[in-house]
Amino acid sequence: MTDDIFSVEGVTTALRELLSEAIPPLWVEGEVSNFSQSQAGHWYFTLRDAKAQLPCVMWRGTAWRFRDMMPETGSLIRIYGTLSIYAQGGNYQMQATRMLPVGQGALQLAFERLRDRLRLDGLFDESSKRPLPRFPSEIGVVTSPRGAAVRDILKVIGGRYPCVRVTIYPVVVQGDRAASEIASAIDLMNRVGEADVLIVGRGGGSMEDLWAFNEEVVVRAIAASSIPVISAVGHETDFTLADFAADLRAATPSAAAESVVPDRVALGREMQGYETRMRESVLSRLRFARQDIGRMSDALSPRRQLDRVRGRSQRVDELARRLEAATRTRMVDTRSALDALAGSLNALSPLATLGRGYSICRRADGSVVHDTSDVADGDDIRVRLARGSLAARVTGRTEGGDHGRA
Amino acid sequence: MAERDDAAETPLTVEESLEELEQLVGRLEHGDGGLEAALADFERGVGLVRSCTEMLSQMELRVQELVVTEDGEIVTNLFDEGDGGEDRDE
Repeated sequence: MTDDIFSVEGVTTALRELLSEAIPPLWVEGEVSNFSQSQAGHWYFTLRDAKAQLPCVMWRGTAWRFRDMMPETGSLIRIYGTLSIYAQGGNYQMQATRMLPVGQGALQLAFERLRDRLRLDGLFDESSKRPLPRFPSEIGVVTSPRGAAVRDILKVIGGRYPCVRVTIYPVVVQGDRAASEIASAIDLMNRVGEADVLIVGRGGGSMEDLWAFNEEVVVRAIAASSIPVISAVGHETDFTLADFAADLRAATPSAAAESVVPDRVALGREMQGYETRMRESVLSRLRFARQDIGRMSDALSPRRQLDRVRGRSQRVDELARRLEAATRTRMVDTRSALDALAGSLNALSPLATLGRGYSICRRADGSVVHDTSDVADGDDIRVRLARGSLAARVTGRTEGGDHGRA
Repeated sequence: MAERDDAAETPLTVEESLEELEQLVGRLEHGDGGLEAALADFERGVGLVRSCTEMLSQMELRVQELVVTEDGEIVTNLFDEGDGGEDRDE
């Protein structure tokens, strides 16, 4: 008996080992009492139910992560952690590494607090959303490798656009490790992967099941990703903070797959459309060219040449006709002008004077005799009368003299 | 054209092909260039449609899995959809 004396510390150590072997990390649910936060930032509280109570601690670093769900005395929570012995106090306690409020209302409240805080940090800014590539060549998928989500995604992508590569990063999507696994998968995809778009998600479940996608590490990893991220969590009605941070929120994993790749049938139609348009425009170009050639060869045909000559000669005929008509008119005009002139000429004619009894005397050369000196005695002269003329000889001359008396 | 020689070496992606097709169709419909050029464009366009259609007709999706080993090495394995999977998410 004397051999087996334990030190106090020895007993404590033995108990601690026993405890950690016998009871792995676990979730415990209970009502919070005696909640307090130490100066250093640790949380101390007791979880209780009707029959028992369990002292708990959440160390500062963890408590900071869960600050949006800081419990109050009386609230119902679930904590995850390990049981350990507090040697100095001689009691046991639970060291919590995770916490979840219980009940829709409490979860919702935590969700809203975190959402508001992350929004203030700019994680949901529309301006920082990245556009999705229209034709990705590699798609990264961060999800459970055995879930319904991955099967839906592969089925849809395979049906719509199988000419891509899909790289799956397997993670657990609920439970203690989920959030950190998802976050580091996103980070790793950014560092080493060749994906040009990521789908991050899982199939449907309760709000607790989907909670990893509300955790800050995941939301921050999505916001920090330089590869565009599509979130695909749960069903249409499930909204998670991952959805707010993602560049596109898909209602379901299948919907994510539909929005990540184009539909090859539609693409094929688009290409056929291009081909038809090209064919039509080339054909119409050819048609026009053929018409041009037709017009030109027509213009050069002998018949057309003959037509042109005929056309020309017809024109010559017409011009000739017009010339003749114009000339004729001109002649008529000239004649009547002539008649008028003749009329006025008649009025001035010396014949009229002769009619009044005057006569004109001309020498043999025809020049009119104006003066007695124009002739010599014995010259033959002709005297023009109103009717007929006389042949006469000068027999004498009288110089000067009056007109009236001659 | 020089770009045609490049294209012969590395096949264009579907995206690049569509972009070029759009340009070709635009040029043809505007009637820019001579008939010779139009026929060359047409031939090029039909070739693009054919190669794209071929690309799109690929049947098998390539799926791989990224795994981090215990040594921290990152390896890619072929992803086997059937590996013990049932309907549940984890």
